[in-house]
Amino acid sequence: MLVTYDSLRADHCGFMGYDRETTPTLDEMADSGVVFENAVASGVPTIASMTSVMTGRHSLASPEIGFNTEQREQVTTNPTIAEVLSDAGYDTGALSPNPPASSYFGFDEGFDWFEDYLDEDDGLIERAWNRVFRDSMEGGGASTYLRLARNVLTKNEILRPWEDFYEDILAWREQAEEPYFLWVLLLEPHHPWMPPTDYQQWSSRGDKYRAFRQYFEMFNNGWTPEFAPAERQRLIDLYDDATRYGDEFLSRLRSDLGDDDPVIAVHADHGEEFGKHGRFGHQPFLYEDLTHVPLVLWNAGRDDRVERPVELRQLAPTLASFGDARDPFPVPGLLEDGDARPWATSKVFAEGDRRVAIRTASAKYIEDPTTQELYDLSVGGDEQENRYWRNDDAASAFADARQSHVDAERERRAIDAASDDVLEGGRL
Amino acid sequence: MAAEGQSRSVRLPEHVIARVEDRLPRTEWDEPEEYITYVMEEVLYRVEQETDDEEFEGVDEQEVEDRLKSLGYLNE
Repeated sequence: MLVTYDSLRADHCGFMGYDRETTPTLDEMADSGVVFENAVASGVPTIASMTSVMTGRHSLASPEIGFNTEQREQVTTNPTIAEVLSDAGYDTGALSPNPPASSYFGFDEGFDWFEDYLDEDDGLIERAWNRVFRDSMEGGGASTYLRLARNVLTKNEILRPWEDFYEDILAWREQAEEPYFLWVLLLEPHHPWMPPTDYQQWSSRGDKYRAFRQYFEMFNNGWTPEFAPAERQRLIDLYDDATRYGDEFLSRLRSDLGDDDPVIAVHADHGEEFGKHGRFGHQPFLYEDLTHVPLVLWNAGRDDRVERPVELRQLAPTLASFGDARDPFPVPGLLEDGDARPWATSKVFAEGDRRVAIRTASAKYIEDPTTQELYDLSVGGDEQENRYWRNDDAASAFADARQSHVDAERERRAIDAASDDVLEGGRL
Repeated sequence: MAAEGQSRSVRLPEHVIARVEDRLPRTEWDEPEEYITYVMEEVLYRVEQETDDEEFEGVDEQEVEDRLKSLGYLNE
């Protein structure tokens, strides 16, 4: 089983040292499973991250490119974890209520059952997407504000609490044959945060509604609103409550399907920013708030904590190996720690440029065409003090690590293009 | 074609060889080596063309790792 939490930061999980008990079930699984302390998203946001999880390949998918076939092809033209497990005899089922990880972008590849609650008609999805991400959140005015509030309240748009669809998962399991592979993406703790009242420990009922003003400002100010400390804290309180509610899913899942003795991989697609670098939400940047994600393998025959940095795209070969499936993925599995590279790479496409981050267990290098940043994560890890210009040797070593990644990706792209070329030319 | 000239052995995953063997009946080749050599020739020809005009200096990853280590950036 693969469980994806949308927007869950590593440092807001109990087992990663958070001082609130946001993730009691995952903490328990972390205790008896493998914890990857330095796991990073291969990309941000969901579409880029989940493409890399499913295909083991970096993706430069980005909402700003638009909804073209190129984004879909990044999933559909490469082998996916669901396809190789299906080929190995697994029944495969998935439930993903988030449009960027839906059948529209090819995420249903290899799944016998794929539920995303979106009509198959592309035009409709395009309109739904536009409605959610443009009309509702841009333009301003009281009517937009009210529509957003109404849609959130009636749960008509992207907000779908996991209890809404939980029975569908059990129904699929009921008719699936073992072995099976199940992927579930949960919208907890994706904004806007509407934790059920029963789960509100840190936020108040009124906070849920007062926060609409903040969401509105976030959407309308390019995700760089200026919030008073109390407003920011309100969002964090709601986020933590949404996380706690999301954790309850794992508890139910284990209790209902525990007899199947599943290996469960739990991770987040990316994190969430709360203003440390001036932004909120999860725009395609590469700071730890966004890239450092929880990652736990439970019931996988090991219980330890891995400090070596790993990337989410390593999930694909890891799951293939649990399923004795073929492994066409161009990265090593998470548990292959022999001579693994001591850094992990994240990459995003934003504002027309690529940004790359090289993450070691204690440091982070971020580069885009105009800036270079180097942070020491061992001293507080808040990525406020750029040390790039202080140490030429370090700067050039990290730049070379980045170059090595670029070279490898370029060669792989050339191979992929050549294969396409050969196929299209009818040579094979 | 594959057997001509000098050759060296490389190890391939069993499942790849099995899939090549499944393709052989559709070809005039008898051995997986011949099929694989043809695929590699075709693909490499294009890869080499594609990357012909790129500047490539090459980075020794082990050396980068040593440098980062000596600078204290790989301390876990």
